[in-house]
Amino acid sequence: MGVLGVSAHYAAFVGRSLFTRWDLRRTLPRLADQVWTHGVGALPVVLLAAVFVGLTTAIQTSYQLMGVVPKYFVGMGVGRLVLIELAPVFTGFVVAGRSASAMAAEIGAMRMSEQIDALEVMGVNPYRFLCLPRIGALVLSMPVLVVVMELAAVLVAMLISSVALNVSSYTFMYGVTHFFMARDFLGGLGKAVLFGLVVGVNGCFCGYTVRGGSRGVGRAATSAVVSSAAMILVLNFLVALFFFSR
Amino acid sequence: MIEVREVSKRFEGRAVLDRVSLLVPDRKVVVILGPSGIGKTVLLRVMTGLMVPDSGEVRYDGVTLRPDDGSASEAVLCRVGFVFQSGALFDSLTVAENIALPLSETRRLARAELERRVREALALVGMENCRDRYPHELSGGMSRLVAIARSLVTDPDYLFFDEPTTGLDPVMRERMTRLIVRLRDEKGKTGVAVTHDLESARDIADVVYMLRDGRLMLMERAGKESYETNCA
Repeated sequence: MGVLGVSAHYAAFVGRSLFTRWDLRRTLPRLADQVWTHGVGALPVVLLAAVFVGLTTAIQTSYQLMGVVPKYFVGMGVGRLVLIELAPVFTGFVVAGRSASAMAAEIGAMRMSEQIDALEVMGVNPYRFLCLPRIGALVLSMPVLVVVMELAAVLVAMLISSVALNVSSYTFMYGVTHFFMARDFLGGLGKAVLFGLVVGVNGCFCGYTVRGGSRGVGRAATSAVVSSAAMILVLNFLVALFFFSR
Repeated sequence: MIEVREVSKRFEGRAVLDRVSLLVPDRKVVVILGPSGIGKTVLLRVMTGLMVPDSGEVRYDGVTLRPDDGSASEAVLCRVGFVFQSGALFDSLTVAENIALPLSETRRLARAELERRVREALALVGMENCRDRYPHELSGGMSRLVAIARSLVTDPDYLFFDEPTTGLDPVMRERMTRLIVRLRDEKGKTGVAVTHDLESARDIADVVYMLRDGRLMLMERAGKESYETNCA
């Protein structure tokens, strides 16, 4: 199947997964289950990433700006970097590595063991049963995870700045809040929704279309992560181009 | 009655099914014999709408099955149960939840009614004691019995079995063949089974076909112990 064929297949998959009858009475419990697995379950690793994003960004920003501009610019630099770029992209990568592979492997194994065929024969829409809750869970969870990462990263950056970089908490937070723009925050959240959609769709698509036994399931998990990461980078660029360029 | 009319299916140029026609009378069990990899499961999947044939059609009581769309096909599939070779049970659900799934996902039933039907289906296959177990706690034969219970819970008219006795120990094999015969005789189910197990074919079949080189050949009973093909 060529690029066009795969694209058409992908588009049809998105259509069947998202534009099916949602049947909320049956879908909501599964959605809640997936939010727990892929949203709440991702919190520890997101927090871990946030700690190091905060530490590194504070040190790097301080290294670049100290002695050149007032100290509160460290807070400004960290705040805007984290809000616009680092939190959405890092969270996207973390969730792609964690959830896209898990979804591809789980759905792929279900394809291999004829469970998806069983759903079809039972008259249960497999897209609604399997894909919609997973994609929906990531679309809902990603903005929350991004906000968690933003808060944690800024907090850690503030602490390291006051302890080791000679920038007081007050000065740091003055920089963060004085230059805060709602557009930056909302842009980051918009990216989070897009990235959640991409990771969810790719994870489900790669699992749903798996071929070739256990080796195929392994390949599907890898493809889900790689394609999700690549699409996150491309989308991040497009959002920067259309929403943040002057 | 199920009619398969001139169905063909090719994979990478190889004709797995070549203008196959088949008639499955009501309340009979038709067995399709053939070695592994010959296309028996493909025929079963085409008959249940899981695979679209390159040409030909499948009709249930005169209604053509069109897998991709149409409420008519949905109505047809409501009357179909499929027992996969692996059982195809959902790992994260208990036996009872697996059996309830087709009902809870497609119909609005009161909890008590759902429970009653699950209990009945479990009793029919003799698996009442396993209702709270998970699929990984079951043997292969038990998984297949649960899969039969799951396919029976919607009270379908037609049951399809993919290798129902393959890989089972003699006791479980006997239990499975008795169950299939009982479903036909007592419940009036119409069955289609594909297998390469000649012995189980003898036990359950009213009509036996052999699939070879993409073509179906009717075999007639020539005594208790053997079959002969009536066409080459």
